[in-house]
Amino acid sequence: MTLTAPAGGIPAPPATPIVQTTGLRKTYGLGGPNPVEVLHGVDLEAYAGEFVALIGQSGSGKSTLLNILGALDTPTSGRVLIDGVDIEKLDSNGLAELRGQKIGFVFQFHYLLDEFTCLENALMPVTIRKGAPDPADTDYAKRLLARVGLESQLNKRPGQMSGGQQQRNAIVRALVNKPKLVLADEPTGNLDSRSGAEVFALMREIAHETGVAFIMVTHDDRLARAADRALRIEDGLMHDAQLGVG
Amino acid sequence: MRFEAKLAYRHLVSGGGQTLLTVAAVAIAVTVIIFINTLITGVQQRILKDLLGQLAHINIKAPNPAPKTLSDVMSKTEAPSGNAPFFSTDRQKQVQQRNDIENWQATEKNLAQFPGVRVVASAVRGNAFLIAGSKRLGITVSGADPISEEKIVGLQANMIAGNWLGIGPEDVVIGWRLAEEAGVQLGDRVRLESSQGVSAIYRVAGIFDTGNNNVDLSQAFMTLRSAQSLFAMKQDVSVIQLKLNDPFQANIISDQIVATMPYKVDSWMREQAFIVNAFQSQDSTRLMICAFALLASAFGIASVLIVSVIQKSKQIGILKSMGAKDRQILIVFTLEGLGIALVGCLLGCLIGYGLLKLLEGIPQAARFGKVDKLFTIIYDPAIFGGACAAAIIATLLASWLPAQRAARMNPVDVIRGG
Repeated sequence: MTLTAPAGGIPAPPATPIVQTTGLRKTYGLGGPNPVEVLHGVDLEAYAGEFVALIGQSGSGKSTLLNILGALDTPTSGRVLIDGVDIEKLDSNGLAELRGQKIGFVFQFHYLLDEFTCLENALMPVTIRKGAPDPADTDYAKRLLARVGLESQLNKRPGQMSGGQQQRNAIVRALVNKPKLVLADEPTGNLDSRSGAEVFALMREIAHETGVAFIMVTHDDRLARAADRALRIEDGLMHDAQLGVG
Repeated sequence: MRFEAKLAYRHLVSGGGQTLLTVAAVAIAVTVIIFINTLITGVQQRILKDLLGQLAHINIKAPNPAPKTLSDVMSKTEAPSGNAPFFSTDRQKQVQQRNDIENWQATEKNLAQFPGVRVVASAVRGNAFLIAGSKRLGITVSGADPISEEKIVGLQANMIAGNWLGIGPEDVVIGWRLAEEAGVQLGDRVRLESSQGVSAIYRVAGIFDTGNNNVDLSQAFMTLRSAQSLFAMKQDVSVIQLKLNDPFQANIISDQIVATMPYKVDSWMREQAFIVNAFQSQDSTRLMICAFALLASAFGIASVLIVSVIQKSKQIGILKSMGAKDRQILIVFTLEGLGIALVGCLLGCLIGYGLLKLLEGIPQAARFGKVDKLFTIIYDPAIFGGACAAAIIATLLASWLPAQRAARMNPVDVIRGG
């Protein structure tokens, strides 16, 4: 697989974004002696089937933004709409449900549960939501695992798989609940360049195939260039990334 | 719940040494509780049997008669000098009036109706001298139907010579120390002279060894009829004896009897208060041992679980990012505590049972070739159940803090830790 821009260019965005932020601010240490504002009013939109790369220096606030988009953290001010739901209006249970149903996460480390097999890990979000997966869920998870080339690893534990396999397992886990939005925090950062490229290509393809909005934090310009759209976050403000070709 | 149960189970299974450590902590606590409680209960039963085996739990006697004025007693019409009347003294009264229970058959029936009463047996009891050759030994004579008296005193198991249940009107059964002291043997004849001045000759039909020196030295048993004539009691009895299902109910039941019947009712717990006090201090000792065992186990479990929660903080964060609610995480770790408790209880019960079996097998040589058990072991399901219940509660309390900590974990903090 090679890293090329999708044929036909960037698809036209549909009318309502999957995720939309307006005037997002986040201050850490509020009320303390040295409050630090990390995000100074971020406006961002991402649409179904779109693969967005988010780049920025370390400490620029990209991970903070991702956590807020993922309903793991709340903004100090500003609005976050995820599939039309204002996360400010949700309590911790509501946020958990929103995460379970609409959001998938892929982290720099796979964070698969050592006590469970590849298939069980892939089905974990379903298990959390329903108690136990039904056959349709298992079927879907198996198809996704086959899609990422793990059909022969179903009963392997994370420790028995390679780094690339683990991360692909984690991607399937992020998709198994059919979320609207997948957030990936440097998902290839911990992989060698070949596996990283494979994982990246896979995510982009799946975004286009499933209509999921994908937002990927990276500091790799090469990967960002291959995304549908690249945004740069700098000093807590959002800019369209100016990426040189090559 | 299936998710929580599955995750808790996998945690415990993959926990290996940590899980074993916590299970062992529960098991040891349960073992200690079962062991201590069974042993102390056994010791108390043994003491009860040895010290009180020959005693009734409750004795019912006719009340001391109401005091009579001296003038009544002396058949005089006026009290001297018109002041408050003089009363006869207790001693004088007793000379005047015997306090026997007359209609004892009906009273026995009434007493049998009281809840918790196991055996009712009437007896004549009195003091006498046993005269053998030149020796005069003061003894207490109990006369009762051997079959019902046996249910109170349980003499049959303590007989070392002759027989007791089948004695006739001419027979008396005495303790081995009394026999030794009087220099008599089975089949010898002895004279008994009662405090009423009646005297008769009896055949020593049986000799017992209760293990209680006092009883073995100063108690003699005969039939009801023989004692009635020895003490010149006609058809009456002097005491109705009760055995209860639970000896420690004696005070409560005796108070109930007092409330409904015009008799003097004595509970062994009041008469032998020192034993009850000793039992109470044993009970507080065992309570303390159990509490410390539970406390130690609970602290052990809490610390292991806290370590485990910290080790699993990333996982908890990931689970939360996938939609796991605080409550679900709380349940996972509480279930782990419960799992540890259940397995620990099962193990503790088995170990406790095994240890008790081992102790039960140790023999204790007794006099006259009898072999006793060194430990009286009663396998009480309530002790096993109580130990498990206490351990489960302690373990759940111990897992509460770690589970809370896990549930409150902020996914952002733990995932960012990288």
